[in-house]
Amino acid sequence: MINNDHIDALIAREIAGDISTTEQSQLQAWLQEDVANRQYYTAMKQTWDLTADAFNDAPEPDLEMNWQRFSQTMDAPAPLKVVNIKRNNWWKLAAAAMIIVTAAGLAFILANQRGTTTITADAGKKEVTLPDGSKVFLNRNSQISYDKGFASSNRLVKLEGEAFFDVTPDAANPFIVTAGASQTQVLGTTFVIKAYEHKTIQLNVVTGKVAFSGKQGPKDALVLTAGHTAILQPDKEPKQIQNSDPNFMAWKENRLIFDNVPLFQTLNTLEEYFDVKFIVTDPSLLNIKYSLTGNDDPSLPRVLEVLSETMHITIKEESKGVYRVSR
Amino acid sequence: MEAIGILSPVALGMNGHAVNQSNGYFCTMPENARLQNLLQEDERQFMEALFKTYFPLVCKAIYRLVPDMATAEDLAQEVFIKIWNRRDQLRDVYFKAYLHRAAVNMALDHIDKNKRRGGVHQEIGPTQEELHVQAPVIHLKETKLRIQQAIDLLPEKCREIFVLSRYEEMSYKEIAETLQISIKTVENQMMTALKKLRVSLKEYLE
Repeated sequence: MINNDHIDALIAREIAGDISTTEQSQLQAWLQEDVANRQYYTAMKQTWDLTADAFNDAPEPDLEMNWQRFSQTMDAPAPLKVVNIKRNNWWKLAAAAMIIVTAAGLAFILANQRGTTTITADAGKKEVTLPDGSKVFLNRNSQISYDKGFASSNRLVKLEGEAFFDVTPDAANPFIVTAGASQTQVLGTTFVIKAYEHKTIQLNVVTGKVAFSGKQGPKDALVLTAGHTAILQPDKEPKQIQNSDPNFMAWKENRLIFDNVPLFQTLNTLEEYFDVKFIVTDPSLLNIKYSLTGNDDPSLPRVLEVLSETMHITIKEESKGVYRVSR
Repeated sequence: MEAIGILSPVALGMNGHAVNQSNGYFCTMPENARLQNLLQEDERQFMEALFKTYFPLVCKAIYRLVPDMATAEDLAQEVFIKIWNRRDQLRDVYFKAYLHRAAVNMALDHIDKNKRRGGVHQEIGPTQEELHVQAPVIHLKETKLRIQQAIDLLPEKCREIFVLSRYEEMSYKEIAETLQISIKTVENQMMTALKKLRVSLKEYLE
């Protein structure tokens, strides 16, 4: 009689240390009855013991970053929400729109019959100047498009992927970037939008001011100023977050900074920066803190070499663009 | 452990060092008394001390039930926001236990809400099938991760009950009250969890 409900209950109680002395003696008597009973009990007990420290290697939350984020919430009783954006107020310093139809670098330009211009950056990054003089730096695997009327009747740009924008002010003609469900209305500024398919959209404002909105439209826009970051998760409203990632513009500036961050964060950044994948089978490696600075367009082999030598780990290319990290 | 990468860092514009940090947190009664004093004296300092002492604990307790660090961090933030809003009612509170309980409730609420919205349980770990395929390659260092994955793959209620008993140190009675089920169900589910884990982790149990 192994699968007896009552015995199971007794074992459950015994294992969790939640058992009375009467029940304890019942259990002991049952264990004495048969070797199979003892084996069954031992199996359950061993399984319980095995799971003791399963979560000991759980990732460590970044305490300082979380505190920064929390103290910001504490200090901002009302989130930075602005109901109406009066465009004219923002645009007192209007500059004439410049008509320069040049794509710097080797951007691939496609104009279809409907007059939509699409600029795609595949394997390499692209720097593009839009008809209104605004500059766009496109990250890898990213594309922007705009219609024929751009600069004359509107300044609407559609983005897929990630781009840095340096926008030419024009009071009469607001610069609007749509990316996924988000809309960013520019109020004279430089900023980065990251909007890869199926991922959280992230906006970093470098200078100036923008209004960032989701499906609810611009009337619920979040107004962000220089140095601030907001995200838009699928089916949610935009929210402001603390951006502690010094590498949000790494792809544009060709530099990497890791300041005492856990290895998994470093690897995440390297994956994006170099467009590669890392496989780590040893979870104890992931939380080792690491500092490294790579200026002047660091190369992947160089970064991996420094990383493996300083951390005493092995990084081996397993297949093209896939690296295995081990001790 | 600390290592400095030399590799002519200046010329290469690159230098590195690794620091292995282990952050422990612990609480004693004097810690609680200190926090209570701070609460009377300076609310902001109290909040900072409380946050910095217990955020990791709260976050990890949530993570065990909601195994996604970003979500766990969001929920842990919410726990502290609630505490902050309730700061005038914390006079006789023993913070460690209070926060731990708040963390567990926050995580369970999140799981419930997700379910009602028809949200899918986020599978972070590999599927049962993948686990099986990976089985022959065993490294001791992988064990913890694999056990964690096996726990994450338990049926939802079963997993909740197992985690609450095993890691949150709640009695069957407390678990039954929290989840509004009978103690009998809790005990049944505990044994179901152990039996399932026994099967998925058999390679570690011989």
